[in-house]
Amino acid sequence: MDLHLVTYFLAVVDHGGVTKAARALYISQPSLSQSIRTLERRLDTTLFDRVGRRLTLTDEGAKFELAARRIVADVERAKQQMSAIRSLEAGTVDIATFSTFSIHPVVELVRRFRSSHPSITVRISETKGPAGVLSALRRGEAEIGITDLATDHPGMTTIPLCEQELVLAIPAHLATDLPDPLPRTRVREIPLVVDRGSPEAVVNAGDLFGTDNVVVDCAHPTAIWEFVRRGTGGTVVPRLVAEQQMPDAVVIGMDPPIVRRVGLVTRADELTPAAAAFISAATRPANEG
Amino acid sequence: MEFRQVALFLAIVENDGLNGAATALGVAQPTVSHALRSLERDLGVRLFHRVGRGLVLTAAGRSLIGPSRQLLRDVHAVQELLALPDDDIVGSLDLMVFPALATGPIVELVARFCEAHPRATVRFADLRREENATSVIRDGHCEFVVAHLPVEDGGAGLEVIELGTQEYWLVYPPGTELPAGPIAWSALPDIPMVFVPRVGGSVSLQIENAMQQAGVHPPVAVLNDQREARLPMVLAGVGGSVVERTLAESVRDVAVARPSEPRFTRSFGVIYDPTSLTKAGRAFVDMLRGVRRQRIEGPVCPETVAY
Repeated sequence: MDLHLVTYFLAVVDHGGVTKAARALYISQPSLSQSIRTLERRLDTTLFDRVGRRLTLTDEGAKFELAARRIVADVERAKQQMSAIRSLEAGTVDIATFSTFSIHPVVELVRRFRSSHPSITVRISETKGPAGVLSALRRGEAEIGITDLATDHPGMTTIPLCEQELVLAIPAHLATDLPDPLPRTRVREIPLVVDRGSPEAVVNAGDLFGTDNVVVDCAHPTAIWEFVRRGTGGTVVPRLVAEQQMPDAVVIGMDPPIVRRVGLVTRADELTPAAAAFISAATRPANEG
Repeated sequence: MEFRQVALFLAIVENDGLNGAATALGVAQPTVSHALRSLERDLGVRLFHRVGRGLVLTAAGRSLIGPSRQLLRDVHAVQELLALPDDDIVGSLDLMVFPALATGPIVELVARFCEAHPRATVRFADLRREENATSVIRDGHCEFVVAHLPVEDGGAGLEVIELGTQEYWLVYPPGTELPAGPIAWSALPDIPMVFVPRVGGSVSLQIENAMQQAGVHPPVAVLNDQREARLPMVLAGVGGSVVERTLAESVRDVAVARPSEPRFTRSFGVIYDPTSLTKAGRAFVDMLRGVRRQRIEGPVCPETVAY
């Protein structure tokens, strides 16, 4: 059953006959009659009683009319939806990232995008580190990755965004006499609250975390911030997170500094309109909004 | 089976592979892979599938995780007993916490524990599915679980200490104009929201039902796996959100925080097996009991349970 057969059928019903319907559809009358017969043959039923030159719907035909109108409405709705997505009046942009970036730069990127595209939902999936971002992109679960550009992204398009410095946020009573920046080797002297299972912790583990200076191995970011605020230990976070979430903590850089290049990664194929809009909002200079 | 092999096995699981485990433990990668092979040879089973260059746990490997953790805790406990004066706690306190409860009371209690026992360490891990609250204890994955009460299977043989009640509040960006007083779930303002998929537990299910029954669908600005980004997004003006009461109250001065109506609440607590507590675990239980006693003896307002 083709969509055009359904619309032809409804035209015959609405115009009360083949002749008028054919005229409205700009096709010949024999071709329309032929189409209706094809439809009847495909459905294996009789849709119209042919009484003289008039056509009236059979019971089957009346049932089919209801179904046909639903189908046409469905098609219309689907088309509207597609056009809304094309014109950015609806839709979702799927993003994959991991916890280091959940606040900086994700919050600001989402704020910018939503302020210019308030009808598009942003879906953010948490993955396991840069490798997780890459596989989410490959599997098509996300269209944009926000990730560490130090990782190779073969076959993908990368767009650099900013740099992110990881710093120590340390409760004041544990930070007395510490130089800023602090040599990385001395980080082991500080009691820490960190997520040992996080990808960045694994990368930096040998350098920063000894066997006994991690007092709380904590998988929940908000709880990490609360532990630092309560003075349990220091932590390693992006500078912006330290300043916003642990305003009373002493913020100290590391020597040599831990700086990563943050960027967007996408598959090299064509982007959906929503994803393209996200990227253009993300790469617009900050003062434009 | 050597303790060291077991520790290496857990390190591979926790650090997603040989490289991560080697880095975390400060040993060479071949050392880890050799130890894994000999553990597999000893046990006569494959613990990991070798997939490309990566490792994926086999069913046997998965079922070894809990017993391994239990084993290492017990080994630590023995070392503590032998090496230390009675009142010095050095071992590890091992908790799994349901994400929606990983704030406020339990953080304060663990922080207090750390203060009292500066040589102890804590694993404050993630309990993804609350229905596993009792099985992760019975299978040895952790010593304590923090979850909503009552626990799913009644928790026979386990002990429960109630810590308080959990409740969700609504928070909106600074400057949002709303009428005073609680906000009904059935009449949420038409402000875009930052939601976390499945906020967690039966409380969020009740909230979902209340909204659904009233036919309320606030526009969704962001659907975010990263719970910690909810408040920062609200403060940045991205939208409103539903957060745990303690978090909402922490931003009362800057954002618009309101209780909801009706106030779906559910109690939560710490669950553990009293027969297999480590020394650190016993000290933690003693502390929880002490805190509760203070609460019961002190002037208690039944509406505002601190913990």
